[in-house]
Amino acid sequence: MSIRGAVRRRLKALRHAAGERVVAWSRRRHGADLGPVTISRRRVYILPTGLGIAFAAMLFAMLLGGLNYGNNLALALTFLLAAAGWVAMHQCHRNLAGLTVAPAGTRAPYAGEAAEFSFALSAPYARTDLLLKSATHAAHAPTPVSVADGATATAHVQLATARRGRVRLERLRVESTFPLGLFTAWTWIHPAIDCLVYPRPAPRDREGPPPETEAGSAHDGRARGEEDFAGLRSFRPGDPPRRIAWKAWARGGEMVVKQFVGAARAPIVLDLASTPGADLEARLERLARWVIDAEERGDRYGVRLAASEVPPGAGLAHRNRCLAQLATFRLGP
Amino acid sequence: MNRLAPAFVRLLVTCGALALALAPHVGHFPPWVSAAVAGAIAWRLAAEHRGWGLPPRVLKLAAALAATLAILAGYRTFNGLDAGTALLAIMAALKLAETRLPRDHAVLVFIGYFLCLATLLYQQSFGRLAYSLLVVWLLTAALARVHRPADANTPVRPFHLAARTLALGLPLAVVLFLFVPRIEGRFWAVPARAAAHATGISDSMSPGDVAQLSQSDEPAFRVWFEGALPAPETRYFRMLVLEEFDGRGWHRQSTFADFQPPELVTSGAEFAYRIALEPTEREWLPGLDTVTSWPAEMAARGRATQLVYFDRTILERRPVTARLSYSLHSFPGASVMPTLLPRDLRRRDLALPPGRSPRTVALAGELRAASASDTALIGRVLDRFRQAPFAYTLEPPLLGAEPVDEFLFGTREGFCEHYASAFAVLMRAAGIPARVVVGYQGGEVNAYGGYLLVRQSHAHAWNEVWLEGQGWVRVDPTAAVAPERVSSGSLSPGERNQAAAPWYEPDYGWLRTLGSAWDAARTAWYEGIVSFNTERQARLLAALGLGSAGWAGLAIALGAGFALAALALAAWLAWELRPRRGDKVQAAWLTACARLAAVGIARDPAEGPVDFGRRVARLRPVLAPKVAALVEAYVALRYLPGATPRERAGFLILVREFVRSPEARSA
Repeated sequence: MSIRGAVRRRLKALRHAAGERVVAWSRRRHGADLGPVTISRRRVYILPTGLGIAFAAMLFAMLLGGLNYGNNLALALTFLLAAAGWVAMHQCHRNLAGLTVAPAGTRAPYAGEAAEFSFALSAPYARTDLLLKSATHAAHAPTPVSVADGATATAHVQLATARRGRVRLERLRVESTFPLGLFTAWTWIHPAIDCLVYPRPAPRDREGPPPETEAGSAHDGRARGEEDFAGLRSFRPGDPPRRIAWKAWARGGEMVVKQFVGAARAPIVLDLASTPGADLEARLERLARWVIDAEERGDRYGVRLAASEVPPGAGLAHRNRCLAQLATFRLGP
Repeated sequence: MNRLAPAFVRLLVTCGALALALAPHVGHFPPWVSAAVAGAIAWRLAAEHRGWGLPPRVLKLAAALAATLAILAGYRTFNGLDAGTALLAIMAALKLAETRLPRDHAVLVFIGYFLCLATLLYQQSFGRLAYSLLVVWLLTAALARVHRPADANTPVRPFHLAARTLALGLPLAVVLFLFVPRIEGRFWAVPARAAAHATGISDSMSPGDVAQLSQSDEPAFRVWFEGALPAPETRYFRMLVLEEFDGRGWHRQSTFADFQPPELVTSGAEFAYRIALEPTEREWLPGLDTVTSWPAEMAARGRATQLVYFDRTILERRPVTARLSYSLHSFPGASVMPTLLPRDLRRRDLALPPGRSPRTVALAGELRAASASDTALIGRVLDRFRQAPFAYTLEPPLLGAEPVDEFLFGTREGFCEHYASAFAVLMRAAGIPARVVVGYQGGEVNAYGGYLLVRQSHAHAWNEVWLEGQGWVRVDPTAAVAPERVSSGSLSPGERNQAAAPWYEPDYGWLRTLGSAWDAARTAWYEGIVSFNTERQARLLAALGLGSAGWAGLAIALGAGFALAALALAAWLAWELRPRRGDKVQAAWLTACARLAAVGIARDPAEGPVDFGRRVARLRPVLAPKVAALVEAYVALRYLPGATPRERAGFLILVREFVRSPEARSA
């Protein structure tokens, strides 16, 4: 083990500790940030970037050159650039101050995928190239988001997940290096938002779930897809695309969905008890697969997990409710 | 037009700005440097466009080493402006080969900034500054673009942004310019640039060797007089004295003995004035005949200036490579050494090379015999110039082995140098100590700037003779031949020479006026900006009432000025973003939404008012009627034409009532 490595590790640890202390201090200073947060000037921090420090060094060299040659125009140019740097500092700071960051929902992933937290950014005047970063487990480099005058823009923060349950966005760093990249202004927001993480669905089965007999097995005698057409209703989010009456929509009408009735839609109940194996996680993953497949087939289905049960239903919202049950099963609240 | 990839546009802007920053330097570089940079830019753009790979690291390192060695071989140093600029250009070319990341672009932009600085170090004209500012703007825009990846849709925005950033910084820059202390002298020595061309006066003259006197209208210097100007015929600005004659030409005495200050009797009018001298690449400074004193600060500041006492010319220790400004006092009527000419000086000012110019020497003997006094003798010589067919021309014939004899008895055509030379030889042969003085005579009054402009075409040569009781007396033999040369300052275009009258110089009054105004503007630029120095800074501080505080005063002015400008900037930015009297309906709607968010029903950013209203009604039926009314009114005001102010006011009241209602306040 080299001494240099040890020193570097020690320094890194020190820096990390210092950073954490600063964050903790800022958190005490601003409190928790539930709901929309308007970033006040007090909580915008600003420091020069590496490029900013290089810029300052360049200005210093230019100043020495100008003074050495006694050249007033060279000095004027140097001072103009220095002043532009100063103005850039103001612009950078005010690119954040007054911005409102509001939580705008989460998108639950399957374990192993990235959880996405959405935030609505709004401001009375335009903002440019804002970056939203999570302090931990960031899944991707963030893409800059700009906000137009008086408008709202949505930014997404993605967190990597490993297992089902909940993932919490503890701390959010909103930052900007606008306009010249010489300064970075940032603030910390502590939204403490949870996002569900669904179990990772097991690979597709050869045989589906065992037929359940909640409402009889009358459908056994009929082939799938031979349900009776029962009419049209207006489209609701979550309706399967293949049920949409595309032709009607293409003719310029409202987007409508074909509805079917029939004994074939007799609900099935997907029971954790009927999943094979002993490992709970594996069984939940299997169950998640069944839920997804059932939804794709257009079945009416419910889920039974030991004592709790989701009554049969259909649609994306229903599927998500079922998956949420799986996600939090036998975990803390 | 097909859209260019954002990365390509980014590179194009950076390369374009860099190329413009390099353009003024092309003349300073060896051709291979210019070619290498141009090639690198073209290749890099093509590589980006075609998607070629960038060269491997080893190749780049080898190229860097080779280029650095080549520059070292060419300049023998990295110090100094020429070598430094060439090195910067090569660095830019090499950096281009690996430009991919924002950081690489930033390095190129920084090199561009340095090149702009170097442009101004070469020349401090207004045009250069304007050009450099333009390039700095483009470079800053390139820097702004680098950090805006999502900017492909608004290509103009970075340019606007850069202009704004620079413009807002202007007041701060002015404060810094005025109050950042200047230094006298240098931190480190830089090799002097080779004199490109020394214009004007030189330290020897050989009439007869020059077939054509070039008439340059370049300014030589400008003079600001406190009070009245001297009469045109007395505007003789001495620059240097030539005392050694070799039979053909006149040369400056190369060694100086340590003489006592000459005896000086002042009389008549005194003139106090300041001269701003254009760079001459020579040591001599012009001064109005006769310079009697110069301000103490000139010596106190450690300026290299000294008065060379015995011939009263002024010398700077180093060649004047930048505009130089200095103040002097003169008495045109002063007598220099009226009673005594030291013996060694007398010997020197009577010396003639033995055996040369025999006819001239003989003529001097005749004239001496025929004249009762020195003054009479001088009068006879001048009369001779006036009466015999002597002519003034700027294109005299070339002269042979005995130029003075040939001129006096043969060609009889010449300009001031011929007359001054012949006159001095005659005087010395007749036993009167005489010398040749070169400098400038005349000048044009610039009414706009209130100064006297002396051009290179005002260069002149005349004589000084020493007379018992009067000391050194100025005699201008050219004035005897061409009086208008002296009284009007310089020959008018028509009189210069018929053949030499240039077609582009018509005698239009308005054109001359325009020229005057332009020169005044240029002079104001140099006087106000370029030659702003410690002295001016001190005067500015004194005007602000901080004159006595010295360095502390400067620090106070700098600190307070900067704080004021920074405060003004912050105030301006805040004012710009003041809350606008905007859309009250929208504001009220947002208030209502915020109220609903506070009770747990936040509107999704993508959710329209109608959908949101439905959702609220579903989630909180208690609120349904009020929210439905709100949504209906809001949608009507927003999306239906012809909303009246009354309807707007009604909506505002509706919102206020809603926000205060107990249903909307209980979660």
